Amino acid sequence: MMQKLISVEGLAVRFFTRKGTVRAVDGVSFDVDDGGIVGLVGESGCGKSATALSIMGLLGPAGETTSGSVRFKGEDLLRLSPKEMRQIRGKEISMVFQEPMSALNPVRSVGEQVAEPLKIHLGLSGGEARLRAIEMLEEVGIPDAASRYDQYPHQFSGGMGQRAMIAMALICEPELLIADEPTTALDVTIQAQIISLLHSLRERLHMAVLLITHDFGVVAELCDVVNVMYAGVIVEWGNVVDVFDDPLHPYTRGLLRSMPRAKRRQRKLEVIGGAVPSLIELPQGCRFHPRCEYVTKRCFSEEPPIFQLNDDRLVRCWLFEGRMKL
Amino acid sequence: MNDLPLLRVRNLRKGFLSKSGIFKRRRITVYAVDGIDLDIYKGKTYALVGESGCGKSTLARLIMRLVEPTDGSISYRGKNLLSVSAKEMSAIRKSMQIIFQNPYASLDPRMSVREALAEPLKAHGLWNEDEESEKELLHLLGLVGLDEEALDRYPHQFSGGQRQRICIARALALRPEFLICDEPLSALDLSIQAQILNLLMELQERFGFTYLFITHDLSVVRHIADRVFVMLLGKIVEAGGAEEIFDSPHHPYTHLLLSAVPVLDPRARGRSCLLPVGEIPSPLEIPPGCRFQTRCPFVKDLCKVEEPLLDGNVHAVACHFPLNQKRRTASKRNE
Repeated sequence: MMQKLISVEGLAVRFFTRKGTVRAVDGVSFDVDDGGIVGLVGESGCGKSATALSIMGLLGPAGETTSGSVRFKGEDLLRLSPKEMRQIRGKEISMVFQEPMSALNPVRSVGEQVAEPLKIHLGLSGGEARLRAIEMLEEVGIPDAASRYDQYPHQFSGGMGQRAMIAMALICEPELLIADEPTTALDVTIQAQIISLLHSLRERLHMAVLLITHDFGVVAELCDVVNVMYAGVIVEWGNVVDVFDDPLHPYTRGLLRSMPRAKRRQRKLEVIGGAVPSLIELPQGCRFHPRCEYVTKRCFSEEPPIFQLNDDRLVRCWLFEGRMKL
Repeated sequence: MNDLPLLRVRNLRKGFLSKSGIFKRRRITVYAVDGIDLDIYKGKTYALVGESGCGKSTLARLIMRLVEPTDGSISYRGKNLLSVSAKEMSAIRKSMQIIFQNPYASLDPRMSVREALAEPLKAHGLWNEDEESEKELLHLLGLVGLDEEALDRYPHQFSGGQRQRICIARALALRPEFLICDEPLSALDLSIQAQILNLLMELQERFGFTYLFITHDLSVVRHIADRVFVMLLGKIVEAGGAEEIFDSPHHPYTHLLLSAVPVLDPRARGRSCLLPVGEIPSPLEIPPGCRFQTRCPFVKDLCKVEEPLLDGNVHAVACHFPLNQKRRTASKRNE
């Protein structure tokens, strides 16, 4: 049995807007094992990024984590002071964002930015930090790293920028990397390079990854375990092979079936009708019931609990009633 | 394929002036579209694929005459679009329409759906303030699966998928025959993409539309396209039937693009994926010779000197050393 590195329990995040309270994350629980790659997958607005930001304590003034806990090495991250959290961010847990070009500071050299965590967290001198940063830039596959160190973000391509972001995130050898749509802004060829880079870095540095994405293809390529999110809750959890082979929740099933497969040509795609609900006015009962093809009377009024099929399959759907309730 | 193509593009080029150097004194012309030939026949679905910055959207805008070309010719049903009178162009415009990527940006937020749909009809003098015209609007909404109550609502009241439906209805208002779809799915939610794709396919079956899809999503291309053009830095490097291109790509760039698409099967992970070796050259400094030389795993001396020309009829490729089955398998084994 692998050791749990981080354990999220009953996490809830609210955003307070003029239109009302947005229940972005509504009771989410999952674990990331030591050295594992866990996917949090869903459509835009399902709460996957809010979950990541809440774990990192980066929600900003509009959002608030209203309940739950995030256990990391015996401590609840949500109870730490901002100062204590700063010690962890960038050192033990770090994050990579979607747009490398907006995440990098345009007026400072890329190398300086990559080296900065070493100075802050490990107290390295400028010279030492520079050497280590150049090594790290080489490790993530930036050619001619020593001369690239002094270049500015606008001199980097999107793929190189994302490599630099990954170098910056990994430079203090964190135990957990949170990657929020790390390849979404990139072309497929560059995406393939970043995926293979993450695989090799995970093995070399033995870190765990929480991958946040809407792209099931990227999940299939990278993850060990996958959590499917819909409208603020996790609707299905399982080993990546099981989820792709035999998706249980009608939402996961529908999504996987609606994707055109590169290998097969069919005239008509199967679709999930309707659209994602507003997080301000969630439907009664099961959140997915207005779009579900297996909907029953009960789904209109009662929100389904999580049912456990076996040790590594969980699903939030009344179809599996009778199995063990979690 | 003996009849005249609907759209014929010959040696189309579009240069943009780029200033560089500290004092912006150096002026370089960057060719976003650099000598493109295309034949598009009626009723078929074509796909134009390539990475960002390869010039595919510029090509779409050139065909629609939203930007003026530097050089070359575009003819539609035998008429040269670059020399027809304004009146003739207006008539041709009716039969060519474009659907853009972002339905949040392509609808005027202050126009109700009724106004948005009536606008193209008014612009072409087809609008009478009568019941007939009103019926036409309802008909358009019906085609894209929206109902009457949508007419008096504004774009912000719709979801992304519904907005894209409105954009499609608007494009259909003038009863076009040729539609350019510039990344019509990429701004939409995953569960909505299949709905819009099905809608576009249904409309094609019903009205015999000719489509030019511009996209970076290769799994969509395989699903819908009859013929595929692969574009790299302003040029077409491979063109052919969708099946042939997907089953046996001849250009190493096409091979690379296809092998980079993630497979929806975690068991197939770790299959040999060809990774590019170098970086894409800047469009400002395209090297002499082949445009793919900096990333090609099979690059030879000749490729650095002489630019390969697009060669072949049904399945054309611009490569000095096109791949065949044997070399494709060999390259996989080496991984």
